[in-house]
Amino acid sequence: MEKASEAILRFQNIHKIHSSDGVDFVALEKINFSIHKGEFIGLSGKSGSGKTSLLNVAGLIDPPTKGDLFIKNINIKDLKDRELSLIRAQEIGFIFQSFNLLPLLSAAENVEYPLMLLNLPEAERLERAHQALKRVGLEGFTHRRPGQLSGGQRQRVAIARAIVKNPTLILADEPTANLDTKTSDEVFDLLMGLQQDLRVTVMLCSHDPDLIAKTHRQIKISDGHIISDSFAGGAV
Amino acid sequence: MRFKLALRNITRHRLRSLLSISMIAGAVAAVILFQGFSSYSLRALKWIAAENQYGNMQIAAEKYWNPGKESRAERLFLLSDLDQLKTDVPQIEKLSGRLSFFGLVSNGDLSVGGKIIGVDPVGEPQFKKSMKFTEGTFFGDTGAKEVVVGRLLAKQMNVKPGDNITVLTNTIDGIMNAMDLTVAGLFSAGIDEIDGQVIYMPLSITQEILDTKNVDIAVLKFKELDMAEANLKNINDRLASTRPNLFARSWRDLAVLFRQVDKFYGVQNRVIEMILLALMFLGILNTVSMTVVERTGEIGTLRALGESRREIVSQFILESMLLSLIGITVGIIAAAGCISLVDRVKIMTEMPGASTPFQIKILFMMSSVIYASFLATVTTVFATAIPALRASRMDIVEALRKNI
Repeated sequence: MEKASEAILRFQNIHKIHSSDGVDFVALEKINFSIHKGEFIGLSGKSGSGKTSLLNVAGLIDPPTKGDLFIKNINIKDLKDRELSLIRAQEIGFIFQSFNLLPLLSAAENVEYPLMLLNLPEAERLERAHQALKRVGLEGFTHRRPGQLSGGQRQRVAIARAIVKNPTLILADEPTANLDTKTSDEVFDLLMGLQQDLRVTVMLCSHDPDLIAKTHRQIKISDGHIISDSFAGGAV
Repeated sequence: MRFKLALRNITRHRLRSLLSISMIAGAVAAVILFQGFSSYSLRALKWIAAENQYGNMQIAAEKYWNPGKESRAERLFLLSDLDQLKTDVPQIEKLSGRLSFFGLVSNGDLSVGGKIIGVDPVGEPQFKKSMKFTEGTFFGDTGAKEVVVGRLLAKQMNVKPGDNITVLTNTIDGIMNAMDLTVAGLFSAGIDEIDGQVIYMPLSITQEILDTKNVDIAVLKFKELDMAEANLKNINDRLASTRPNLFARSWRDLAVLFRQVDKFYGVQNRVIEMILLALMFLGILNTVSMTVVERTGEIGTLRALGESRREIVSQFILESMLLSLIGITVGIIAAAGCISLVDRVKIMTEMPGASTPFQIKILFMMSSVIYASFLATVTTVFATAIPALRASRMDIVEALRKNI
């Protein structure tokens, strides 16, 4: 099932248990799999199956309750919050369902923000932000704030924000859920094109089986377990 | 970028930011005004005490400072005994004597008790300058048989400049003596106790009435007031070896009222500052806490993008520092405006026991500006740090559930 190339992320017997009002809820159980460079993974499953929990654990924003998660062979158990933040800043790009753009910043500033966290010089930040927006077809919208953009344009800005730092891994949580069908297809095609151009690893979760079918590797989750993990044509 | 974001965040909720700025500005202005008012009052009291009432320093016999059953003569000394001291301590600018006694003052129809103080107008020019006259002038420098009378005592005796009064007392040797003197002026010291019983006359005339060449106290004027306290030990050491019965005391030792007021203002200002800072602290804490709740989704996003906890805290503190900077600037301008207004309106007030009202004045002091700015900044940082730390420790996944 696993590829022979070096794993970017390795899940080893990962469990995630959420507690609410003293009641435990098992979100992930005995998750074992690896993500390799250049893969485009589609994560599917019903609501509450554990897709988002898996994405959150992979994105180092929700530590596993049990098990070991290795990022580039480093066990995240050994890392402090500051080090995890640095890995997120350098290696991981997020694309959220609700876009999560900072409302007070323009499109260009939103894209520039992750580069500021890497302490890059301003001139380089501006150039890279401009290039990223150009890649997603928004070169004419750099000064607009999120409120002045359509849903599709906002998600394009979010994609530009995710790719601008040349991350190792992009995690997209239902990136097309808030978009109409046409825009949804456009955004997905854009993401797929960028994945192929930049050779970046993408893990995307969606309810839409048509979108999942377009990904190279499809992982299905049910009740916190991986019930299938298969490669489609075009897999790396 | 962070600065830009901070600026935009503080203009996001204009009314709330305005409220925070007003709280900071109010506290800063209040601290500056309270300190300015108390400093002016203290400066005035210091001037009255050190330049007028007591002089920079006084030297007197031990029996004068701690009177017992000894004879009056034992408390007196010759001013010339201090000639060497004046030569040895070059910081002393002037050294003159005072001699006082209680006597009966009569205008022919009415006799009342009064305190008569002999002063040397040449040796204490500041004393003469500071005297406020309601009628007439100061007595002549050359020892004319003239007096100036407290305005309340003059009213009681129904005397005015040009009238004659008779002063009756015992000489140092206990022999009854009397002298006719002309009223040169009526003064107001601003304190009922003084205006109602004190008469000033030339030192030489006082010595003539008491039949002595001695004085009660020597009043020292230094080139700079600070030199008085700096030289106190030096002078007492010299007196101990040359005139062991004489002791020096600085104006601060003598000015009980000044010390009491100084202490009172110190406590009062600290209490007021604490109340203002507590209000400001709670106000900013509340405002930042509301902001944190509203920006939960944003905080989650920033953390997911790789912002560290420290950077989240720094961003909130930067925003509060900007608010604080604006608030401090507004506070300083408001305080300067209030001071100018109070100066123009000429608000008069009366101190307890004072016979004449005085104009309220407030000093604009750079030390108060720095102190108030420092307090406001520290309070703002602490009030922000608490909710900001809470924000930085938010569960990222939980925070992301809140929409931006």
